[in-house]
Amino acid sequence: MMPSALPTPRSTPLTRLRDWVKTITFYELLVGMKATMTHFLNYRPITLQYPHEKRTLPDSYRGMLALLRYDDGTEKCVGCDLCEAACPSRVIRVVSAEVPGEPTKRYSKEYYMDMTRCLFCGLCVDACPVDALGMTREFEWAVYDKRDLHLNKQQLLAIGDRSYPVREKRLELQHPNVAFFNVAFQHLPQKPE
Amino acid sequence: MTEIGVKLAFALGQIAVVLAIVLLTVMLLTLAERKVLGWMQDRMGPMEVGPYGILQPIADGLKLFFKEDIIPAGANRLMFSLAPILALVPALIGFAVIPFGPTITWNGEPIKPFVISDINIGILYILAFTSIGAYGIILGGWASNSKYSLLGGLRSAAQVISYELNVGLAIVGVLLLAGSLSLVTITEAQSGGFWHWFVIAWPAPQLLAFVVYVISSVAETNRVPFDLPEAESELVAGFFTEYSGMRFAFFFLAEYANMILVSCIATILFLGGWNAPYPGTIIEHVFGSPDFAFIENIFWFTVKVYFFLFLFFWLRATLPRLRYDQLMRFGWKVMLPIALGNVVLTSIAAYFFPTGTP
Ligand code: SF4
Ligand code: SF4
Repeated sequence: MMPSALPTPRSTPLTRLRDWVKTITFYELLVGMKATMTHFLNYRPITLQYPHEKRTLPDSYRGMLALLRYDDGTEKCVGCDLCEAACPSRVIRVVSAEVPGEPTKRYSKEYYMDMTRCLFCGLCVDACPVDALGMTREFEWAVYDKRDLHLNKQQLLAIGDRSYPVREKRLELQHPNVAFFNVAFQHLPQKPE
Repeated sequence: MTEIGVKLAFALGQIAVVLAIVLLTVMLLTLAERKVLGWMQDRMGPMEVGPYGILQPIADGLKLFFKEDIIPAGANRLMFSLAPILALVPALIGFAVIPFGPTITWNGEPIKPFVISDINIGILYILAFTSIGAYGIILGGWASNSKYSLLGGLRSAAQVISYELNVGLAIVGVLLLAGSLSLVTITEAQSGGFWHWFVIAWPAPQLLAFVVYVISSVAETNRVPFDLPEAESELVAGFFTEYSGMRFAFFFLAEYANMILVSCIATILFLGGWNAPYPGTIIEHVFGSPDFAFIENIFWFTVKVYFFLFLFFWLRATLPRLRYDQLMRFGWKVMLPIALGNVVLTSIAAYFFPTGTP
């Protein structure tokens, strides 16, 4: 019963009498009842009335996944399949194809996510070499029909469009130093289009 | 002929009012319980329906009313349908002998408008009917053709047998002191200040019997910490696992009506029923209008009953569920000897210090 780490109190007639009195007067129960009564009288709820008030999300919040675009509207995804390989839950399916007329470039012809299985681990985002995937701060994705959670490329792009209004420059148009870190800083000198 | 007609109409009116009050109280309790539990656990309780969730019982009632009524395959249809009624009716029928207020004089004749029927075996009648309520639970558990329900029903049977006995023995002391089984007479024997209430009254304070009664009544109504028949964590929902819709609502109503009933009985037997904790009533002494003294009496009755109902919630917010063998051991080895000893002591005291009642 008692953890062995605690020193066992010596059992003298006095302690036994005390324990007996405690038992017959329901001492332990009364201690518990006092605790609940204290909370009842100092009523300070920690409830958040969810749909009416919402928590501030932490900065690193991992919400709904989205496909991103460059600022000229072209899709970032190059159809490399790395996200599909990285995903532990087999959420992603990529059908990659050559860009018509440009045999050195590939893109994802079709891109599906089965969000019913996603566990929002973020491994796909880490795996993507061109940062084509992003995790938004959306989380209210309850639906009536489970099939509404099977998203295609258009839907994923739309989520990205509404969640990332500020987009990066095309990779090959960015300043080499900036392209190295792969972030867009508008005030830095950039290649002319 | 007309006299009988008037009496009949009066009785029917009484029944309607009492039923309405009991059912309203049940509605209030379902909300109050969740609110009190929430407040005790730093939550808010229901907040969505109406301001601060006060319309929640209505929403619940509507929901239960429109739910599909499912009878599981292999269930005994007759018993399955009968069980909720068997649980509810005895719980409501007990209120027929509960005196909510005093006897008042009308045209020089004493009448009892606040008790439907003052029969001279009132408390025996209640004990008899609440025991029938246990059949509802047992049959409901058995007829559902589900192992969880059956286990819940069996537990309930064992629990009711053990604790019904303690309830019976705990009130014997009061009956010895009052010298009557009629709840009105018992209440009137405790008038004149809180030192006449049987829980502390000379010559034999019924404090132990009171504790035994309260614990046993919690057990009898299947409330936490004695909610083994419906233990959610072990038996899904116990005996009403398979019930849905209105049948489920009946069990629910029965549980809360039983809570009110045992609170009323505890109030009447031990805490002086409608009597105020001081002699007489303020309305009579200070304002000099004995005709309206019943308002104060009914107020005190309500306060005492709600104290017990609050105690039920308070216990539920605090205590974990007992194990089955603990429940049995506690009932038979602790409470039964205490209740029996109390009967013996009270008899001796009542023999040596007769209080005047026959
Ligand atoms: S977040 Fe994790 S589970 Fe979800 S798609 Fe990406 S890799 Fe798969
Ligand atoms: S999203 Fe990224 S990792 Fe996935 S296929 Fe497109 S480029 Fe490759």
